Amino acid sequence: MLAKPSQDHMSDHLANRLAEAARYAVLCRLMPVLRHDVAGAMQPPRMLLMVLQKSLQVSDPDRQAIEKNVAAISALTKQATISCMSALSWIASRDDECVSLRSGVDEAIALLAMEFSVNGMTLDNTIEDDAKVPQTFLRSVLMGALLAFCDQHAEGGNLRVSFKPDIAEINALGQIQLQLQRPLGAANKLPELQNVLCRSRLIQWTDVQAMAEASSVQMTRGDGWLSLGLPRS
Amino acid sequence: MPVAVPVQASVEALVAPDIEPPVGPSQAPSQSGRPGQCRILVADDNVDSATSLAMFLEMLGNDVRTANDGMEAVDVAAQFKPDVILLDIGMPKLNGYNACRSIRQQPWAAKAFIIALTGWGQDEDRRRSLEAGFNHHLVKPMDPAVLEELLAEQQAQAQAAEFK
Repeated sequence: MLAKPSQDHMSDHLANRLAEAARYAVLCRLMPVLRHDVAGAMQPPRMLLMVLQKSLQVSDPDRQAIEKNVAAISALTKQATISCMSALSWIASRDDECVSLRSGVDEAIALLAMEFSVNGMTLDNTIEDDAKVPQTFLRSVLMGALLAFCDQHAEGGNLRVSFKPDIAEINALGQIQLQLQRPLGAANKLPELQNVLCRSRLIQWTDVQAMAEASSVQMTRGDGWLSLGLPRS
Repeated sequence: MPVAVPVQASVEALVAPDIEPPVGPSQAPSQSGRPGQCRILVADDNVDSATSLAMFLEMLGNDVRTANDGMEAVDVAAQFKPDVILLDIGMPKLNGYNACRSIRQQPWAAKAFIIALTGWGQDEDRRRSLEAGFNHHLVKPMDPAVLEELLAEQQAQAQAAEFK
């Protein structure tokens, strides 16, 4: 006879499934932006290959110019490859990979620039700390939190992202704080692009909470602010 | 690492070959009145995309200008009065839809051939492009041959309209 799963086991299983569903929702939201970035990176080398092809059709091709263009195509192709691989890494982020907090937040902000813009929001990133944090945290919890601010604050505004290191605590690295300031008003919204970018469901605070718990991150939230307490890895 | 890091330096190093423009439909007179070339504005916040596309179009014998945001696209269009405009949709300051609407309001732009150039290619995106006043919707990464064909068709139509 099979043993019944314990209450704790069931609870953990459900929590993991909720975190997984939340992460999928975040990925779905990012897909249009990732696709746009990859497609944008693929286009220049293709155009330049056509330029090169046509320049080779003349009776006396300029060898020096061709060599320069080949080098440029090589650089652009390399960049396009990096873009593709980077987009793929979003789908299969590695749990054991840590990146600097500053670069991870920069990456998140770069990806969400259009999302923020169409939602009438601006973003002020004051983080300069290079502490190593798990990439999965940045790409799930932080990304989810940023999207939730977009989705749950229709009035728009300026979102300030900061980091407060926890020097005294042995087990805690510090707190990432997100604070919504000065509503900008609905006039700043771009509803047409909002529809293009937001084809999947909105991100709820419960999604962020589920992902935070799965990453052992302490989440506290109030009116217009959110704090994410990072454990020391 | 950001998903897309501009590599502008590599494109700046490019050299446009000095060759004769191809013969064929693209040799038709344009609205600008200059035979053998068409005035084209390329607007894209991805500088590499704008520059490389401009180089390709120049090779086809066209007179090309570039812009890197929606506001700049509207300004350049007002001065340059292009026959054809290629607009990225997701541009800062002013998105491609609103840039297209703004350009269309100008009297000279009634006959301009405006193409949406974007990474978004669902039916809804195409419908939205047409509603904003675009004539055509191309999805990145686009096939240069398709663009070449589209421009040739447009010029043939413009030429036919002039003779009517």
